[in-house]
Amino acid sequence: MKKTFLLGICITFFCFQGCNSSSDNTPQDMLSDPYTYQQWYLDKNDVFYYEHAINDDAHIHLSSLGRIYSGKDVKVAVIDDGLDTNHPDLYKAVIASYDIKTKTTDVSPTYFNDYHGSAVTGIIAARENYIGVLGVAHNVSIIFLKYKSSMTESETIELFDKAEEFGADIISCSWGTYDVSDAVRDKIVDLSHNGRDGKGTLIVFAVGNDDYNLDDYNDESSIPEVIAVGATTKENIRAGYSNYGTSLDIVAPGGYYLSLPTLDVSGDRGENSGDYILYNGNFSGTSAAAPIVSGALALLLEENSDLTHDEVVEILHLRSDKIGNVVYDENGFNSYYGYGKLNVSNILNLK
Amino acid sequence: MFRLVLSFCLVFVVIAFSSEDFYYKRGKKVFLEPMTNKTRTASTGLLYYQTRNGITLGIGDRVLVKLKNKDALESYIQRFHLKLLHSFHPNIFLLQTSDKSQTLTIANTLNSFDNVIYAHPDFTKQMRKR
Repeated sequence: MKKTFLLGICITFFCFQGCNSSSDNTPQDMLSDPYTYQQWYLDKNDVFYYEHAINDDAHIHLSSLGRIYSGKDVKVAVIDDGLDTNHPDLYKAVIASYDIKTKTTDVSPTYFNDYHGSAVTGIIAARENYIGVLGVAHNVSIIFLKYKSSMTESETIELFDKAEEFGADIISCSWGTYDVSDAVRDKIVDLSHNGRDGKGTLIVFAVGNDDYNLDDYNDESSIPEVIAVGATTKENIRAGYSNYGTSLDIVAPGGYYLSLPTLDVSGDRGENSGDYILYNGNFSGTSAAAPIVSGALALLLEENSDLTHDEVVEILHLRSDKIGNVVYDENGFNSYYGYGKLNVSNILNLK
Repeated sequence: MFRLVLSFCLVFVVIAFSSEDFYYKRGKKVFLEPMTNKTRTASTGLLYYQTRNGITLGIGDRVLVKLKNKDALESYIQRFHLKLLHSFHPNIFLLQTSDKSQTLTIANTLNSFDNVIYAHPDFTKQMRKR
């Protein structure tokens, strides 16, 4: 009887830990959003990590210094397929929007199953509000720019122009064409050098999920001025699908069999019938890794808005974790891992 | 006899190369293979090509051109019967051709001018979610 009672206490304790709590190294403010314990990419939750055999360092170390900043007063433009701007976890997050097709501010998803843009935006900006999940930069301002699945070069340039017009500090792109044109390249390079009042807009691209060597392609992510992001798994190694090559800058969690919890389109639309994509859902890939880096850059710019594009890139290169048990060259580079894996606590620990 | 064979070879080479479609990217030729999907062309009004990397490009009646000096723009517009649709910073112009079947040729011809930094069709591409 006594043993049964003690067992019951233990089970209750572990259930509570698994559902609501977090480990000792996770600050209290991360407890506020109920699914945060599943967000294995942000920080370590002992029970969740144990249950899903996640490597202790698979996350981006958002604890301590990472929680002092929240992206306040930083503007991130997301170019994607549509956004549920009424999602409760994006309350007051969206400050501007534009749909390239309709030329209006309505960026609602076109198709019933379009959730990509909401999922990407959630990783960056989901609010700290005691519901759902937590974004990497939960106070950041979002500019959402809706693309078409098939688009002209001039329309792509127009979206980057809109990002500039709305004052984006960072532009997050979880897409690519494998064939960037001279004109689009020009626009991206120009913004990277001259945007943000001459300090350079930070343009982040996902490198893609085809295990390609990008040196064989002219991808948007191959532009030297772009911050090119690959993906890692819960084992804290490169995801086998993640494209690679000399243009890769950094890797961040993108998952494989374990999804990255984030926003779904609310209601019946989107990935499932709820408002969130959870750890057993369907959102992984370099599409998920890129907004993690965009969110982290928002924290960095909140800490020091004077940083130039080149200074930010240098910080990322110098302060990323050299994971994967592979050889990095004398510059700290490996073509499968770039300059290593994002570590938010490291990149913010500058002053 | 040798001259005759040589002449035939030259003609063959000229025909072979002149019939090949291409555009310029960063000063280099990118060869294109025409795609014959009439249904797709009918629904979008675009001509479709594929690069050797397997990327599908749609070409309509628009060209993007970047100039060293925008003063020459008007002369190009007159010469090729173009219409200015939009100006992008820095010195990039979206121009409309009068016939989409000529778009690729006009873009390639513009590329040969000293004042043109680059010119290429305003390709339509698939945005791939990642």
